[in-house]
Amino acid sequence: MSFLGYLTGIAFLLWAVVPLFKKDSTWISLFVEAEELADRKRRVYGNIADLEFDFAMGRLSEKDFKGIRQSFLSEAGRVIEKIEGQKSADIMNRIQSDISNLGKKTKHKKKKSNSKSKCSICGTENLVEAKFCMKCGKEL
Amino acid sequence: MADLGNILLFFLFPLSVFTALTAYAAGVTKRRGLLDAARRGAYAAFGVTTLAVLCLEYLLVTSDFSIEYVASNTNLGLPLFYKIVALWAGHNGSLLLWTWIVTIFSAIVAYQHRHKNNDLMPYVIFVMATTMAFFSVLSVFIANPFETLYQEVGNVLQEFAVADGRGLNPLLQHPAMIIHPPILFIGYVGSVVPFAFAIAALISGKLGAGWIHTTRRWALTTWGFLAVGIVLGGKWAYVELGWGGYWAWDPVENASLLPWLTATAYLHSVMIQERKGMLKVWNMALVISTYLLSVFGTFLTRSGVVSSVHAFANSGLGPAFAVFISISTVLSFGLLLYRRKDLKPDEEMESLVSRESGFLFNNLLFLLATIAVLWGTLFPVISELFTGDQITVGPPWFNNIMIPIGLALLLLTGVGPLLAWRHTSVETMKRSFGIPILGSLVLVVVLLLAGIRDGWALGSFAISFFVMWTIVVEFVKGTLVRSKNSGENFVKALYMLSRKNTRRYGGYIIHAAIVVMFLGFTGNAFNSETRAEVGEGDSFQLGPYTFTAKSIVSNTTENYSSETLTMEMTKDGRLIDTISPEKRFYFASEQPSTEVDIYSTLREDIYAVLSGMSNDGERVIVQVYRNPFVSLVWIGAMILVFGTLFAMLPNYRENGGGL
Repeated sequence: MSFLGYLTGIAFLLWAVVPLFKKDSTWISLFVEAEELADRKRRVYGNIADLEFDFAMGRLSEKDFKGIRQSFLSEAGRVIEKIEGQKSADIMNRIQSDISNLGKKTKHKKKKSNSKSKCSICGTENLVEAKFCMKCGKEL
Repeated sequence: MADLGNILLFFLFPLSVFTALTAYAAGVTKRRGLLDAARRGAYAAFGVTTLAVLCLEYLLVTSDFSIEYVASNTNLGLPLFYKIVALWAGHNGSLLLWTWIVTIFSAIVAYQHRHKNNDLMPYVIFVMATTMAFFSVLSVFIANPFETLYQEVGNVLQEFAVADGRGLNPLLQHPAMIIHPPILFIGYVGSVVPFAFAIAALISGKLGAGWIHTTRRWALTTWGFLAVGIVLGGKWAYVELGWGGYWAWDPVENASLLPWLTATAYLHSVMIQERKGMLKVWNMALVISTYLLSVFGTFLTRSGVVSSVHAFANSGLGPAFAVFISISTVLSFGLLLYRRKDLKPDEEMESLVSRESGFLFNNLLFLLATIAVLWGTLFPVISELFTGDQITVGPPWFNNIMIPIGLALLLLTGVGPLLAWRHTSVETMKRSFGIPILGSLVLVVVLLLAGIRDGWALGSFAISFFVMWTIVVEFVKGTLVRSKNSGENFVKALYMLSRKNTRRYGGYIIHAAIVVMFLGFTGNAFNSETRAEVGEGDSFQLGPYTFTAKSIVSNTTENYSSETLTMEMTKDGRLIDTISPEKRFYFASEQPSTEVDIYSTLREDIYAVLSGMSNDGERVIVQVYRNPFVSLVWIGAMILVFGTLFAMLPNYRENGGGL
C-alpha cells in the first residue's frame, strides 16, 4: 500500500513538472492604462443605465437627470476618444447607440444604423433607436 | 489503507510548495511554462487530497479501529450514513475537509481561468497554494487523521486496535449537523478566492475593478454558503441543544458571524467602486478581513482558546494558526499600505444624502458590528491577559450592542436603494419615504394600543414595515413602468424586470428575507417558559395552553437508552397536538442527550424539553417554552437562498433596452 502511495504522489508531481521542460513562451500584459480605460467605459455606461432607471422610478428630477446625463455623456465621449486614440464626430452617436442597446440581445457593435430621428426641441439628428436626445436629453 | 492515505496526504505539502513557487515565478517572468506547471500543481494537489479523503472514508466505513480518528468518532453500532459523515465530526477530519475544499477551489479557479487573466492568475494561484501549504502542514504534522493507536508493551510502542470505537458525539447525530459543517466550511474557504484575486491585484498593480468583476459570483456564492451555514448552525442548536433558543453569542457562533459581516459589507461596497471608483481601500480591506476572519473562525473552533459548545480540546494547532494569521495580516495590510497611492478614489463624495454616503454608512455600521462581536468574543482572552481571570460577556452584552446596530442596518436596507447617486433632493425624499414612514408610525400606535411596550420590538416592527413597503414599491413601480412601455401584462413585466437586472432584484429579495428574519428575531422579546414536575395524568399551564402528561415510557436500543414523556397539548379544551420530548443516554460515548419536541406554526413554536427525572424517580421534569415567530427565521433563510441564487443568474438580454 505504501508503495502505491509513493508511486501515485510522484506521478502527480512529475505530471505537474512536465510543462517546465516544454518549449516556452511569454505572454504580453495589457497596459494598465488600457485596462483603466476599459474600466471607465464600463463604469460610465453602467452609470447611464442606472441614471435612466432612477429617473424612470422617479428618484430624481428631470433637471437633475438631464444635467447628470449630459456630464456622463461627455465622460463617455472622452473615454472612447482615448480608447480609440482619435477624435471622431461620430463618437457621440455611437455612444447613444451603445446606450440604447444596453441589455439587448444583438451585439451592438456590429449593428450600425444610418437612420436618424430629429429632436422635437432642439432639432438635433439622433439615431433612430436612441431614447433620449444626445444634445438636450429630451426623451425621443 | 491508512499508510496509503498518509503518504498521499504527505505529498500535498511538496505539491503546494511547488505550486506556490512556480506560480510566483510565472508572475514575475510571465513565462507560460511556469504558469502551466503551477496550474497542474493545483490540479495535482486536488488529486492527492481527494484520494486521501477517500482513504479516510474507507477506514471510517470499514470501522478500522486501529486508527485513532475512527475509534474516537465512530462505533460498530453507528448507522453507515453517520460513519460517512464522521469525516467532519472530529477535529482532524474536519481539518482535512477544510484542506480538501481549499484544493477543490484552487483547482476550479485554475481551470476557469486557464485562458484568461494571465496577469492575475499566477499570484492568485500563489496565494491559494500558500493557504494549501499551511493547511497541509496542519493535516500532516499536527492533526493527522491517519494516526494509528499505540500502546506500550514492555518498553516498545506497538500498534493496536480497540474492539469498538467511542462513537459519534450524540449531539452530532442530527440531519442539520450533517450538512452544517461542510456548508459553513465552503463559506469559510470560499473567501480565499476573492482574497487571492485582491492580493493578486495588489501584487501585480492591476488595481482596476477587473478582480471585482471576476470574483463577483464567488463572493456571492461563499456569502450565501456562510449565511446558510450560520442559520443551519442555529437550527441545529435549537433542535439539538435543548435550551429553547437558536443563538447564544457563543464564541464559535460569533466566529462564523464575523466573516459574514465583513463579506456582507464587501458585497455592497464593491458596487460603489464599480460605479464611482470610490471606496477602493475599503473593498480591499473588507475582502482581506473576510479571509482573515474565516481563518480566525477555524482557529477559534480548533484551538480551544475560548470555551464553547464546540468543545474541541486544546491541540497544539493554536500556535500554528496564530503565526499564520499574524503573518497573513501583516503581509496583506502591508501590501495594501504599499499600494494606497494607487487606490485613491476617482471621485469625491458630493452629498451626505446620496447613495454613495448610504454605502459608506453601511460599511461603517458593519465594521462597528464586526468590532463589537470580535471584542465580545475575545474579551475572556483579553481579560485573562490583564486580570488573570477569564471574564465572559454574555448574551445581554451582545444584545445591547447588536440590536441597535442591527436595526440601523435594517433601516439602511430600506433607505439606501431609494437614494439616487450623487444627491437626492428633499422633494424626492418626501415622495419616496413619506408614505412608508407614516405607515410605520400608524403601526407603532396600533401595536402600543395592542399592549406591546418593548421599545426595541416596536422599533423592529416599524422598521421592518418601512423596509418591506419600500421593497414592494420598488417591484410594483418598476413593473408598472415596464408594463406601460412594453405592453406586457403585470406578471410578465415583473418577471422580465427582475430578470433584466438580477443583481438588483436578487438583492431586494435578500433584503426582504432579512426583514422576515428580523421579525423572527423580534419574537424573542415575547418568549415565555415554564418548568414542571409531572407524573402520568398531571397537568400544567403555559399561556393559553394546557399540557397533560399521558405516559412516561422507557426504551433501550443498540445505541442508547431513553425516557419519553408523551403529553397532550390543549387550548380551550380542544386538542391541538401530542408532544413527546425524549431524553437519551448513549452507551458508546457515555453521554446524555435531549431530543426536544417542537409544535411549530407560523405564529409560534411550542418547544418541550425533558430535563430529567425528579428526585423520587417517579416523575419527570419537563421544561416548555413558547417562542413566537421562530419559523420566520427559517423561512427568511429560505428566501435568502432563493434571492442569492436569483442574483447569480445572468441578466436576460432582450430586443429593446431600458426597463
